[in-house]
Amino acid sequence: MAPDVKQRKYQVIGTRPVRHDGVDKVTGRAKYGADQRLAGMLEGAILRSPHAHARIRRIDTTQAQAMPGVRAIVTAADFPEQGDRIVELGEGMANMRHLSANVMAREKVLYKGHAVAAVAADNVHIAQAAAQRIHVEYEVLPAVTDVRAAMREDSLILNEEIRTQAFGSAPASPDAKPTNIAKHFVFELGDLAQGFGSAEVVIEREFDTSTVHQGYIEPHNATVSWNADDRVTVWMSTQGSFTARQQTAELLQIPVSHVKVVPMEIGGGFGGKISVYLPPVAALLSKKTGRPVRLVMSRADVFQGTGPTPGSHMRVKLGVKRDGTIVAGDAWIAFEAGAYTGSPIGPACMCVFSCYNVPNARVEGFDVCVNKPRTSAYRAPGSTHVAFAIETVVDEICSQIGMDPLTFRLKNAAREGIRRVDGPVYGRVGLEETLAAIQASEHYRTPLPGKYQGRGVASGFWFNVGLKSSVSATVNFDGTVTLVEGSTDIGGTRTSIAMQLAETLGIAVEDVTPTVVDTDSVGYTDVTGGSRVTFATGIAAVEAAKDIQRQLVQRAALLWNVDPSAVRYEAGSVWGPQQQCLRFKELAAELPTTGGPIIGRGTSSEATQGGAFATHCVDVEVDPDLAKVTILRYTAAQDVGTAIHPSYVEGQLQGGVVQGIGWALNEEYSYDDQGAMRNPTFLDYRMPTCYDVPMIDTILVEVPDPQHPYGVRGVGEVPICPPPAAIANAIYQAVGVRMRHLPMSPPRLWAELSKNSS
Amino acid sequence: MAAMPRVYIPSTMRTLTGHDIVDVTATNVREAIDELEQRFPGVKAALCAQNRLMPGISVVVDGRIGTLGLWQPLSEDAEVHFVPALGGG
Repeated sequence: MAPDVKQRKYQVIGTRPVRHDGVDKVTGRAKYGADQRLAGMLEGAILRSPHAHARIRRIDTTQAQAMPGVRAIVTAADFPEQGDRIVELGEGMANMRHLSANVMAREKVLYKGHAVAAVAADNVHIAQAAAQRIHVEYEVLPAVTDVRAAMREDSLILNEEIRTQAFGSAPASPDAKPTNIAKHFVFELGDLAQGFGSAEVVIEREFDTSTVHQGYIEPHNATVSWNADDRVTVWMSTQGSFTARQQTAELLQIPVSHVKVVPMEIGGGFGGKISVYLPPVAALLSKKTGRPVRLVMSRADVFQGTGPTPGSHMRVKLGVKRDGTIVAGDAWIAFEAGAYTGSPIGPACMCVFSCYNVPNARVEGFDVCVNKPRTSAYRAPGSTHVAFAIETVVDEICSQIGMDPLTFRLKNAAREGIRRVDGPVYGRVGLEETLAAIQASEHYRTPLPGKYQGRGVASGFWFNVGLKSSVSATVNFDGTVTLVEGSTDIGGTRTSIAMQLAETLGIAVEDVTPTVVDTDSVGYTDVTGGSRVTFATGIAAVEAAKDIQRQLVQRAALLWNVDPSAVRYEAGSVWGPQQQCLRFKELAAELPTTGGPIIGRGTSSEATQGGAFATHCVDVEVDPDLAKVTILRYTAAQDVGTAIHPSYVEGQLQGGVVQGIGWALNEEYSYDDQGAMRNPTFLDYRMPTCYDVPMIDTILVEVPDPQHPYGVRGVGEVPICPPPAAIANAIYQAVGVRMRHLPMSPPRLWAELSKNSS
Repeated sequence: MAAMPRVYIPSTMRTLTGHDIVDVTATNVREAIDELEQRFPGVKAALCAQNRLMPGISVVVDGRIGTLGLWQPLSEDAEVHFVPALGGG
């Protein structure tokens, strides 16, 4: 459901124009990374570890090197030593030693699929055959794949250099004992003992979630040309060309200005295309051969060699009064970081109680290394895990005290002025509005009478981030505008940014041509992630438009021979003191003779966005014989600030919900007892398709974010948070069992149903 | 009593300070940390590395993540938090 068009106060914002890149994409003309072809280009292949945990004793490339058509081979020995450097990468930080070892294993392999060597050859078949002729001698070690096992004192240690770093503490001494627990967080608010002491109902439950992949359609790819002048050009699929540039430069230890990243079209990322895997490898192969080298992952490579979202173990305890008032909350959360530190445990701790006013709270979190791929961000990183835990506990409390789950949430909802467990106080946020929207929805008010059918609700939160963006906009003499931006376009942001520029200039969005360019052609821009682009790059575009307005005013003043202070820009026209008027296009035509081109520039470094809340309602039916869950109906209400392009906003909500449904019901890395993933194909890794989900209904609640000129809030991440909990709560209503392990796949649900029946 | 910037101490750092909230006279985050360090040695090493906020730590002033790091100005009644840096997917 879109905002009422009649009430719109904007000319462009809130409309649904055709996307600027639409024709190229539907006609197959858009170029993705794997389409890249360069003269003399070689193809590469990567040899990956068959073991989840092993020491590398020796690598012998002699046979592979001797094969006809093989041009170069690289191993970790070709990469610079990194030392213990921590580098800020725009969105997050990285230990460069770990990042380098993740790109190419050094002394140890830490997961099945860990890259060990790479080959460049005349074609991909030769490269793949040669990779198999590289002989690696391993000393196989036991795999540590369970987060709680990895935390034990006597656990085998993955990384001997890791010491526990507590948030807000000085770095641990190198003399401390090595551990798999890389990070430790504690947040406290109020008086926990007093809070639970005053509680009349207390529920404490434990939860597990499995490793899940983002499942973007397009595999990772990179084509790299290392020129004779030591300038490196990378064509790749990435969420952030500038962070890809920095990572590539840092890993190769060359100046960042010597690397140019050209972002190709991107077939999904969801957080998984921020870390680099292939560009440094292709770069070294290109350096050795003097020819461009292209590397493209297979689906199995993507599953086993790139970062999924962590598996987790969580314990949540909530205390309430009989009238439904929350008085205390306690959470313990352990995330599997994968091979190296870096899970989103910090945000998870900050999100677990974020939907509620919890006056007395404690949250403890752990980032734990296990023999699985190094994890990456995935839509609202960490928040979906904890939403599953807290929102099912809330549902259980509602059942116990006999309170409607939406009424309970409205009573305790986070709102302006409420202090979060991590300290800061909320500004204007829209959780209550999403709860009210679901409560008033036709869906929630329609009875669901069927046997084995149930309805569940859940809420979710994500911070959204701001970070840095740059754009420039050139006024063409025909009255159109060319908009140059650095934000790679994953979800239609060319158009959502162009719409903000057009709105500010008072021109048609069809008169703006947005272009995403390489790192040499626009100012620094952070990743397309954190639900930030329509917000932050939008602010930059508004600033660029205002810059253009200022310059147009000067030109008109020149033409009218008046002081610029007497000229104003309004509604796409420039107005003089005698009510003279020049429309945008008319004035653009005068530019060649009034001083030449006009280029507007805009940057944004706003770090804070208003957070985004969502509340979802789902109806399910459970087959009692097969334990299969069918989604009958789904409605997602979300505070979207201002919907710039409502179709794209609805698409983000629907996409997030479907990914959440997959996480809830089927998706997981299935491991054998050696730590090997048994299902690294889309045939066996079960993502939902259009046959598995009904139309996802959306309710766009618009509570403008005061930190954006048009009130934009990021919308891309929070829709993935509520689905697992909402579905778990619906399953309980349908068949009376509480599911506490994701995914709630037929085998797990069958096991719980069997317990109930016995 | 005149208003003063108020620093909320991260839980794991309270063993150093003995308090969960400390009032300071600073006019920016850098001065606030220096003042805390004088009173509670060890605070600076927990928050800073090489004259910057430690990677992975953000400062929140009056509910907004500071873009200026240690140079973030503090008003007389500012509320200061140190939180994990946020990204997204």
